[in-house]
Amino acid sequence: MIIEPLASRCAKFRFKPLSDEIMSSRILHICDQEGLNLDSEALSTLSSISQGDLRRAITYLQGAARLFGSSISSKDLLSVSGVIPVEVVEALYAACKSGNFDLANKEVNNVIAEGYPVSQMLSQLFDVVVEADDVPDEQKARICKSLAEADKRLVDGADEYLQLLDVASNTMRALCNMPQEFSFET
Amino acid sequence: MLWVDKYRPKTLAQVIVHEDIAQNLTKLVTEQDCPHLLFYGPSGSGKKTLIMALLRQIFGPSAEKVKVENRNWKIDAGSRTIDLELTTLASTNHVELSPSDVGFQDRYIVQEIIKEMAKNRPIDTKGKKGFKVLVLNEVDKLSREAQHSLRRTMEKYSASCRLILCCNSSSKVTEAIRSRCLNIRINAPSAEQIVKVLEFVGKKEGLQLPSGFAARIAEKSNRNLRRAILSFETCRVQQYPFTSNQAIPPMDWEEYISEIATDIMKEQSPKRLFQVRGKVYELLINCIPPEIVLKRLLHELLKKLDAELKHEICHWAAYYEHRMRLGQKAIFHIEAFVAKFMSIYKAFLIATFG
Repeated sequence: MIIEPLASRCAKFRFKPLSDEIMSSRILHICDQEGLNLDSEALSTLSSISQGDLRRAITYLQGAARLFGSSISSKDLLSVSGVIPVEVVEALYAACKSGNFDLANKEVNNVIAEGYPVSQMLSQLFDVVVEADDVPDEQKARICKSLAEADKRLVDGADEYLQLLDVASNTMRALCNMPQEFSFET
Repeated sequence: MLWVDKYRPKTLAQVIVHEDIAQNLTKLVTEQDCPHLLFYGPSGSGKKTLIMALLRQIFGPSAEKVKVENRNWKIDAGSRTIDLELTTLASTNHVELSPSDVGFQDRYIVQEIIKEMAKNRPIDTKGKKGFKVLVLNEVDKLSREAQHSLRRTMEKYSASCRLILCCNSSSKVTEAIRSRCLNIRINAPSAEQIVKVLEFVGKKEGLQLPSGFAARIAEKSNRNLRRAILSFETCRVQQYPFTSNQAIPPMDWEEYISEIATDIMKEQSPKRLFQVRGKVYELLINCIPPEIVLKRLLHELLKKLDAELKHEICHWAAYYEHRMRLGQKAIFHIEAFVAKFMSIYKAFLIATFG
C-alpha cells in the first residue's frame, strides 16, 4: 500500500508472476550450466511448488542438488520444499469424509509425528476442499471458515495438534452433514 | 550413564533411524561448506543427535569437547545497557544456545553472539579462513523481533558463520528464515524402527528380550525414541529377566492426568472443580508445560466419550489452548476448559438419562 500522493508522482511498473515457459526455460538453462539432470516430471513439480516465484524455484533446485546430487527427481524437490505429499493430505481428507472421529484423530497424530508443518497442511487442505467437485458450496464455506480460524490461531502460537484436530472435526461435521451447532453447549 | 546418552550415535555413519538423512548430510558437508540448516520435527525424533553427529563430521572429534559456560552480556541499546545471562555450550568450532531462555530480550542475544563470532574467525591449518557454527535451539519459541533480526544478521555475516536451527514446528518460524535455510524434516521414528533400536541396545547390554516386549514399549512411547529407551531402562531396573507380559510403567504425570479425567467424568460440580484446580496446580508447579497438560487431558477424555461429544470437546480444547497462549496465567484457561467440559457433559447426561 503506497499512499495516493506518492503514487501519483511516480511512473508505475507492474510485474506479473512469471509464466511457466519462462520459468522452465530459465531452470533448464541453470541445469545445463550446473550439469544437473532434471526429468520432465520434476520440472513440472518444480514449477507447481514454486508458484511462479523464480527465486524460490532456484533455491529449491540448489537445495535438492546439494542434498541428492546431480540427478534430481520430483520426490527430492518435494522433500526440500516442505510441501506435504498429496497422499498424506488425501488420507486426512478421506478420514474426515468417513465420519469416524477416531480415524481422523489417528491421521492428525500421524501428520504431527511425521513433522509436517500444520500451516502448510491447512493451505494444502484448502486446495483439496476448493477443488472437490462433490461438495456443495455451503459445506465448502463452513470448512474454509474453520481453516481461516485455525490459521489465525497458529499465527498466535497455538498448539499445532489441537488446531489441526479442530479443523478435522469441523471438516468432518461439514462433509457428513452433522449439525453445525453444538447440542450441549449452554 | 543413561542408555539414551550411552547409545546415542556419535557419527553420521552410526545413525540407525534416519539413515537416508544421515547419508544426505554426509554428502552435504563433503565440500567443507554447508548452507544454513533448519531441522524440524517432533521431540524425541533425533534432531539433536543428527546435529551433533553432523558437527563431528565437519570438525572431527574436537566438536565433542564442549564446555558449559554461564555467560554474561552487557548490551548497549542506545539509551541504556541491558544485562543478560545465558548458558552456552561451546567448542572451538561451534556455540550452542537456546536464546528463548531470556524471554522477550532474545533478539539482543541473537545479534550480539553472531557479531562476536564473526569477529574472531577461526583459521584452519592451511591458513584458510574457516567458519564457525552457531546452533540455536527452540527457534520456534523466539519472538518475532528476534526472528527478523536473525534474518538480517544471517545475511550480513554469512561468510564467517553458519547457522543450524532446531525447532519443533516450522509453522512458527517465519517464511523469511525458512527460505534462507535448507529445511530438513526429521519425522518421528516408526514403531518398527524403535523396536530395531531397542533390540540393538538390548544386544549391546547383553539382555534377553522376550518376543513382543520391545513392540509393546514402542507402542507406549508414542513414536518418541528417547522415551522408548528411557522406559526400556526403567523396565530393566524394575525386573530382569524380562517377562513378555511385564507391566511398562507409565509416566507419573500421565497417570495423574488420567486421574483428573476420571474425577471430572464422575462428578460435575463446583466442589469437584475446586479439587481439580489443586491437582492442575500440582502439575504446573512440577514444570509440566500447560499445553501438554491440556493435550493429555483431552486425550484421556476422548478415550471415554461418545463420538457426538468428541467434536464438541476437541473444539473447546483448541479454543482454550489458543486463549492460554494469548494470556498470562495458564491455570485460568485449563480450569475454564474443565468447567466447560463439566457443563457440556452434565447437559449430555441430562439429555440422555433424564
